Amino acid sequence: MEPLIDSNVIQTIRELNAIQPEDSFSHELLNIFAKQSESIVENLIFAASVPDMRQLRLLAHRLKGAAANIGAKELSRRATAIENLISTSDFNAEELARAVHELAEIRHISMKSLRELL
Amino acid sequence: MRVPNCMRNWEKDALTVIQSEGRYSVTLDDDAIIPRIIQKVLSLETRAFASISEFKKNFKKLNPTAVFVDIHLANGECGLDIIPDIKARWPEAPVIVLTADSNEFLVSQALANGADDFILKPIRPTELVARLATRKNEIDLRNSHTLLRFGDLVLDRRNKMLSGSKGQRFQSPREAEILAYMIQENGAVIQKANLRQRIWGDIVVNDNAIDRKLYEVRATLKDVSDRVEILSIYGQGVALRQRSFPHEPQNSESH
Repeated sequence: MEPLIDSNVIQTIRELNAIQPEDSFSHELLNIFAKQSESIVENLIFAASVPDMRQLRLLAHRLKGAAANIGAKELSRRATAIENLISTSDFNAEELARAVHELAEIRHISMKSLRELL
Repeated sequence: MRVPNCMRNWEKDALTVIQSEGRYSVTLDDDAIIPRIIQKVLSLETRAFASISEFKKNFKKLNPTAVFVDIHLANGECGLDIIPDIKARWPEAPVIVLTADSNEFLVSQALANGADDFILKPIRPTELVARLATRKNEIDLRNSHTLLRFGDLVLDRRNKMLSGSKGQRFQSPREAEILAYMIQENGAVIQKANLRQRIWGDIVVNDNAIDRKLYEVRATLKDVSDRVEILSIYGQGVALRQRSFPHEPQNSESH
């Protein structure tokens, strides 16, 4: 498995936080991401159950970018994989459901790591 | 000024120039983290919009120093579609596309639509500042020939857009030419014969047609500015002048 977290992004966020530590910039970003990603993953699970391909593609892409911006590298990679899976149209519902379920788990683990690092 | 430690002196200097304009940046991105990062990196207020429709509703109120656009927005909107409008409305503001998608086609599409540069997410502060400062310098140099200023007016000759403190209006090519000429003369009186020659060349136009055109330019001016007007000076010609107000020093002739 690739690294869970992108250390370069974490370093950048720490440096930005250091500009004015009293602003709690890194915590603010973490909270924004926590809310966003929770909502996206919930919607992904629902979209996978329908299945709604358009929504799945849009949501996976959103999560890919959001995760990259906070340094959740593996989560971003998994979101990319789902995006690519949907564009091939060569998958079954079970495979998709499994990918989304694993994505939710990776999100949970990534959030724990991010909270420790930021 | 507080800046991230990763920035070198060149980037810190560039940041100072950007901040000295005293304006703000605008982001069009459905990821709420992006405007916060940009605001932190640039130490500049950032106004965030998550959709094209929301952004367009606020067009008239905005005058950003830079615009950052995400390609893939919520509800399937494409940020590239709004770039021509952004460039026409704010020709001085660099438009930088941000995306997590490294698709080569998207890069060329963004540039073809008028974007000034392209940054892949995650954003690296030094790259953001470097690209923004470089594009700003390029635009300022290019616009020194295409943007003309007089009082609170800014005339974009390329897009035929006249801006003032009250708003913006597009002009016909002829109207834009007339105003460009008057701005370049910087308040000097222009005889009608010279105006005819400069704007219409060999085309035969009578005085009524010229007066009609001046009337139209005046109307556009009134829509965008209360401070600048075209004066008709009897027996001499016309001149662009800044209006003086009772509490201000006198600086214009009267009709």
